[in-house]
Amino acid sequence: MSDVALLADASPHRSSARGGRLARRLLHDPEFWIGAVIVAFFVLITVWPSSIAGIFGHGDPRECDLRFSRLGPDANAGHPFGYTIQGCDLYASVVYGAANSITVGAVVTAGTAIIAIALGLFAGYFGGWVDTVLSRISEIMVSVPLLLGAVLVLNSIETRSVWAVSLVLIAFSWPTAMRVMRTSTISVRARSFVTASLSLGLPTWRILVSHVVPNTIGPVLVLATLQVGAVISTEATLTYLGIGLQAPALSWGLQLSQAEPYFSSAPHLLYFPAGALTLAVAGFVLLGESVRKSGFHSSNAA
Amino acid sequence: MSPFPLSSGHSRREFRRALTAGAVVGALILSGCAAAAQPSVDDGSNSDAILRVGIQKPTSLIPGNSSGLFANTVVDALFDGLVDFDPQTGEPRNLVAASIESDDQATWRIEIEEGWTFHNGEPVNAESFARAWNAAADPDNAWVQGDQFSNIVGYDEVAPAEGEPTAEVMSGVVVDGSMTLTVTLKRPNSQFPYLLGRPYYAPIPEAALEDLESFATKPIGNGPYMMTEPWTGGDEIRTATYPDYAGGDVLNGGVTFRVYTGNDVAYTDYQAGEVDIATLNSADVPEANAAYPELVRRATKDDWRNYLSLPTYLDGFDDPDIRRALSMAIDRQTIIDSLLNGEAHVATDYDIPVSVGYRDDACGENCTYDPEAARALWDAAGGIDGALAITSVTGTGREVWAEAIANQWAEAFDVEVTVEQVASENTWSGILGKQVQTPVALGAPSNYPSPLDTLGPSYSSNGSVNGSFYNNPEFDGLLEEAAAAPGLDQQLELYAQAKDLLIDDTVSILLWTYASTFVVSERASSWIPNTFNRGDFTDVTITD
Amino acid sequence: MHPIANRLIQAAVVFFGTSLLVFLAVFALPGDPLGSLAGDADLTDTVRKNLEERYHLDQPVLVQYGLYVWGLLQGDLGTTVTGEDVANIFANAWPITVQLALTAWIIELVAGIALGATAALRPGGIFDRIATSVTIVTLAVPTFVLAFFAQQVLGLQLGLFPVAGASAGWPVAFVLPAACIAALGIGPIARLTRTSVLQTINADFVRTARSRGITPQRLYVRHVMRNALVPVVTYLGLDLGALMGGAVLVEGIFNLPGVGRALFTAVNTQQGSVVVGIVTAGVFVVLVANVLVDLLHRILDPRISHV
Repeated sequence: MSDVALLADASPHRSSARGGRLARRLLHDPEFWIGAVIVAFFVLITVWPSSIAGIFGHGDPRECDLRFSRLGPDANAGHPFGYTIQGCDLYASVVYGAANSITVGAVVTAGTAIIAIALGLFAGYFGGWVDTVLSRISEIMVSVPLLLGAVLVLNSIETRSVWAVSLVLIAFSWPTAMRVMRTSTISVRARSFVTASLSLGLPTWRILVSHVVPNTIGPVLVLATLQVGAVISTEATLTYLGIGLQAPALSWGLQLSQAEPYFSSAPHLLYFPAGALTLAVAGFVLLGESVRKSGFHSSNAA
Repeated sequence: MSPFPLSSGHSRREFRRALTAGAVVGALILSGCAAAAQPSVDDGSNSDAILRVGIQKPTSLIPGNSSGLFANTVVDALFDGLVDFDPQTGEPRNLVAASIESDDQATWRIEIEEGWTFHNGEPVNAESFARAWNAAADPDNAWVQGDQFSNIVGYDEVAPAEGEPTAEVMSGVVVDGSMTLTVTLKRPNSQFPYLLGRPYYAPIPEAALEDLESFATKPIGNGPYMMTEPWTGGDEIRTATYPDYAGGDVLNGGVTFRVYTGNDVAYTDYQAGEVDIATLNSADVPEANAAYPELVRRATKDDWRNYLSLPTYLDGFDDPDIRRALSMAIDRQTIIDSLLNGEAHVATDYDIPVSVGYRDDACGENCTYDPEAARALWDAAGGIDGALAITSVTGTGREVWAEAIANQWAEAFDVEVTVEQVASENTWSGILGKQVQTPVALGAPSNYPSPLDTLGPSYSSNGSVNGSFYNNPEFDGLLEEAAAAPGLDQQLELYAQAKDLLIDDTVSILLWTYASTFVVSERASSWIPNTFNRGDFTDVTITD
Repeated sequence: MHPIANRLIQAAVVFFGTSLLVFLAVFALPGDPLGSLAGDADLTDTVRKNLEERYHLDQPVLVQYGLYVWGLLQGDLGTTVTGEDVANIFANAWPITVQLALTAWIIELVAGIALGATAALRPGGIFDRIATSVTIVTLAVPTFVLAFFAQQVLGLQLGLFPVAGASAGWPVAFVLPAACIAALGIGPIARLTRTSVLQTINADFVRTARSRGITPQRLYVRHVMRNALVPVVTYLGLDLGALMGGAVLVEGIFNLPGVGRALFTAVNTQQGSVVVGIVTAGVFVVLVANVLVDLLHRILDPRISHV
């Protein structure tokens, strides 16, 4: 939700850094390392949850016994986070819950970037009515606040999968990045190497792919890395509101919304998923921040 | 956030009225409980103080157009009907009526008591009731309770299912003299006096029809409380005590209904001291028990039931053995102990314990957990292909136990079971329109303590909430016979036979019953829940 | 065409485009707009038919939209199927949300600028690092988690704030929910302020001013801050959408009877006229805010060309 602000800060007018210096700067940034380690950890448990889930106990989030409902953490019994409402191992549930959040984060970010790059490129490069139409559409989409739009659409979908939630988030998130792409494309189009290629008679698609895109996608990619965290947070929010993923899906948002009524009697139900969610979002934000600070975008676009 | 009923202490109002009016019926029983509630003179109570009651948004404040517990609660506070219900026995007792008589359960002669007035000074007479009922039946008004009057002679001429109306008023509602009303029913119904206590049978004044729009936002009733300002959907509905109320003394200065998005939010606000009476979701009960042991209030008997409606029109669900297998695979007691604080009881009959004639042992092995037998039944009947799902209603908290049932089914039958959600507002249109094609986790309160309250709407072939699409002429016949039977014993015997049919067919899956639970503030701690007169707060003394 | 006229026409196109989009989205919602009326029962066919006629639900969606816009042009926002006047719902709900959003704006503005401006005094210093951490934490904790903890701990356990409802009035009832919404904005504003303060300090005109011997305090406030605020103002305009999203969440948790809560209820109950009204009004506010941001820009930074 905050990508607009981050974008304002990522506009291409900052001090430039060339490739090697860029990498060196990143590698010397503790924020980058902290973020990278956290992100790597969550990617690992997304791809291979059983590696981590089974450390303490049976590691199966579906092996439940109602009689243990909401019991607190008991490390000796192999349940360091305690039990869920349904009497399952909360630790395993939190570990397996990562997959949905990370998948939505990745799919939405990739989808948004692809759509934004394609549409921004067309609008910026061809101008005229293509630009007018695409810009108006993006303005319409951007004026519907993300959460309101998502409530409207998701409410009408009966069975909401990770993909459905992702699609809706993409539909309402692309305009910001598309406008960034459009702006940088306009500035690049007027540059000498593009006009030179045009006069050489190169086909449009080659100019776009080999000259325009490499020089314009920097800011969009920075925006994308900054966006992952916000997307994960938004998915949890939608699920919490009852319009995201549905039980028995394993999802932090779902775990949080179910835990809320039991806050005073079983606070562990809320602390652990909230902690995991916050940590994951923080990891992606740190990573995105360090990439932004390194001046990656300007090295390409400037 | 389930729509639990709000109820209130009652009795003194009826007691006073009975004494002043010289009515005899029930006075002996009533004097017993009224004496207990008699306040001492200097108990520090403040008769001008306002009681704050937590509800959720009412659908409408017009009696004939209101539905759901919250609307009923407010309407009940603003309007008094011909009868209300004895808080102990649940029997209907005369309130605005002086007498209600019938020889054949079909023609009812109702005498109305003198002295009642609406908040605008208009007298309450026979015409006030006829006006209200005809207005509700009038299809032009499109009030949602219109069809509640369909058993009255002449309804079909006023609101024909097809074609244009041929009459303005129902011929079965006749005003004989200003205080006498004769109602003729199409089919005899011994439970008619119970129906007269439902909010949509309340009277409305002439002024209502003159300006329906302002009546909708600021109804003019004849009840103990009158609106002090129009309500247009805001977060408070404010009322003050009606000084000329004919139903007895009101011990407080008014009721402000505070509109919350859910019981959980209301409970949070209760903890902050902002509301006096709040209904609890079961998840909040353990904490309330610990934090406010003196202030938790329960209905004296279970007045709610939870059950699963079944899409019996689908393959698999059309087989009673499959339905029985699903029922026997549910470990109700463990769910009650683990998820419902042990405060519910395994359901054993197809109505609600507050109803007359509820049986403690009727359901038998159909409602008893036996996963092996369930699996054997399931396999023998061929099971159900593909994944199963249970639909829960958003904001009710039922998804928690729905998920537990889903896990138990998954384990017993080795199938995948998911939990889906339907918005509370779309629940019934979704079920009855067959858009929701799964078992649905439902809850239902008792509105009046007759088995008909549950059996008629839920299981008769033309029932308004027949979510399992049960259609059994034998069952319908038994209900009609029971309604026409003169004595209570005969009625209960016929109702029992009807319920046995439901058990044999496992029409819906019985789960458990429970008593609604509330918290009350220190200042209003004299309040006790009253299952059937939800909007009666006249007895609550407030200490400030 | 005059650029301002052009801009207004564009805004009008966007406005009607959005309202049509929302109208279609609402129409696509499954379920039954009349279903909520009967509560725990179902409506009879006659009642249903009459209600459908009354609210034009029997017409094709484009006709419904046409009728809606026609009413809108005559100043009629329509009624809900419970007979409630949409204008009334607005009149009740908007003041709550406006107070909430303004409070959130003030909080994020004051906290964000203070944090960013202080951090910029010594880049890389201890305060700068603290400010960065705060920024990341505020971005990482989802609003609903924050709101819930704030309500439980600050409201209930410490009793510092009312926990639900707007009856305590402004500012008491609004501070906590507004702070939860604002948390998400504090980080970006702090960072924007920090970056632009640093950029401005190094700009030519500041160097010139400094060489002319203007006192550091005066320089900071008069020249640096004024210029550094340009991107912050832009952000505040663009942030309105996020504020409204936050309002949906926070109004539910804190039981504030504002637009967000009304919208959520209306979506669930298929009250198309309310949903369309609220969302288009929200869009209208966003569009107006963006025009105002443009104007403010010109005042704060005369260098911006008038395109």
